[in-house]
Amino acid sequence: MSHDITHDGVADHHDHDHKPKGFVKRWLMTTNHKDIGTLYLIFAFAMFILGGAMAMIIRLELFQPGLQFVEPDFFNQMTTMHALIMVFGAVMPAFVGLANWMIPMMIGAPDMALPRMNNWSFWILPFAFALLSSTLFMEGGAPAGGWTMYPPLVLQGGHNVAYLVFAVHLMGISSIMGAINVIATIMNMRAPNVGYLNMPLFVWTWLITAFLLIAVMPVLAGAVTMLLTDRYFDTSFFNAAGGGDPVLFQHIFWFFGHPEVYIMILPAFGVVSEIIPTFARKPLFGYVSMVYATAAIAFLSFIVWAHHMFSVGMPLGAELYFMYATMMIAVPTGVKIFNWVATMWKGSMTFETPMLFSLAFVILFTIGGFSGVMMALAPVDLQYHDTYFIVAHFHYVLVTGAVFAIIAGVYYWIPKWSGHMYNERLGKIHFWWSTISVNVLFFPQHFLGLAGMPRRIPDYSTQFAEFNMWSSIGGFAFGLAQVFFIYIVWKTVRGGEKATGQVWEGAKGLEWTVPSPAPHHTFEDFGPVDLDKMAHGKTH
Amino acid sequence: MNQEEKRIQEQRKAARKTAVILAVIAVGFFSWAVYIVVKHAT
Repeated sequence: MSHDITHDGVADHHDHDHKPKGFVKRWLMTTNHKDIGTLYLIFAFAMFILGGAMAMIIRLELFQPGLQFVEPDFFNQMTTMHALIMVFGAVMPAFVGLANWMIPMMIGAPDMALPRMNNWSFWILPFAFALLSSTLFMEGGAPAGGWTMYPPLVLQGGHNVAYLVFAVHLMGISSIMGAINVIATIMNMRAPNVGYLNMPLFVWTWLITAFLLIAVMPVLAGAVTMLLTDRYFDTSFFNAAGGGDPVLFQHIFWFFGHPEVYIMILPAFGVVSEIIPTFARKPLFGYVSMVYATAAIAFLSFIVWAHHMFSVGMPLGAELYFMYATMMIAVPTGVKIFNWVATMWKGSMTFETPMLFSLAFVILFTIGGFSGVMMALAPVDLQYHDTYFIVAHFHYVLVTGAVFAIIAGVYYWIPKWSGHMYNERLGKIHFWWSTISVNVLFFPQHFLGLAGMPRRIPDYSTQFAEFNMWSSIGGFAFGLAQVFFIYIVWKTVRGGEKATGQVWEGAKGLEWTVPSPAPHHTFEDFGPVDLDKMAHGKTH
Repeated sequence: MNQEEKRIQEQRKAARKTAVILAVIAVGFFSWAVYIVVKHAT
């Protein structure tokens, strides 16, 4: 039995809209995947603003050579906290928010598999970031040793170490529970006839990301626990004076840290793989190869960690191994880029805001990927290491990569969430404003790095002044563009043109068969679904 | 309880099993990281 689709293309599946009454019941005690998705997205937005404010302080100090606004130690606190907040507070929770909203609707499930754990996963996060942020007001200030938490530097701070470690533990627990929920949902809650190869790419990329999270977050938790015992219980796991090995921490950190990069980018690949076929009005080119490429990237991410440590020193054989293994990641990534371009080839393309951000993603992420391949070369990396070149590289990957995909996803799905279309003209202004300013912000940093400007410094030689000034101007403009984005989102949620259930002409998938806004409960009494409504699978 | 509700109940039961297995794997990775460091330190 396939489910009936009414004349306007919207499924008539007896949804009801029984939202709990009262703020506490609706939001604090919610077990509804859509409400929890909204909470994650709001939280990520708030953290994006907080981390962005710290970036503004960094760029303000670097606007000119010399020390103008902040003390060097506070500057170091800002770089450390900016990274921790953006990685763990903004990008990761934003993707979990998108997963919560979309995965159950994409596979025909009534909710996440473990709704109460889902609530817990979210509500741990505000406490984790309250702990972390509170260190800014402590004697000695916030952690200042970099987000990598390398000993012995990180242990030389005040008591912020304990807060940092507990915050990392809480974030880790939240992420692991979220990942377990995603896997349990995808593996067990699909509508009866939805097979793995019917699933949208966004679901696939999240399934693989969730396995990465379960494998690496506990490893980080183990490493920071031993940092804590080194600091407070006189152990010497990472203390050379006591027979420990600080380099071992680096190995363990990057065993977590490199897959973490893919935890932040694989769901972005998924978002873009949903958007490009919709606006090219063609099925995704090479769907199965996309799935295999995602799995290959995830596997390779486990065996390349020491490319972050070429300058630490390691045997030549190890350098060669990590160099070649790292360069291999370009192959499955290239498959993805090729498939996105092939999807657009001869498509009936239109350029609404989600598509514009996705196109910018493909181009700018590729620039970040290329600079990544450059740094994979061990002898060359010795020159680039700890310079602004690496800062440019990872911001191209994480801002024009992950953040642009999140923004694209918000524009793409907000009509389904809110029932209103966003203002396309404002969306396009936001796109061009963001894209131009982000390149003014980060592209000059390549030149700064190649000229030898080190990262994590509040002052610099006057030869770097001009590029830094341009970078800061780009930074302020990009920051303002995101305030404008908040206005667009707020305006859309408050009202605007009514969205249809289908929303986008070329969209395919179960999520587009429910009305907009999506009812509080969906797919509650759904039998097997009509596979023709899915974008992928045997019926195509 | 209709057929659909029954199916969803069964799915949730299977999901809980999956969750327990994944939690054990996560604890395993945590223990492995600690073991590596402790072994190296001694």
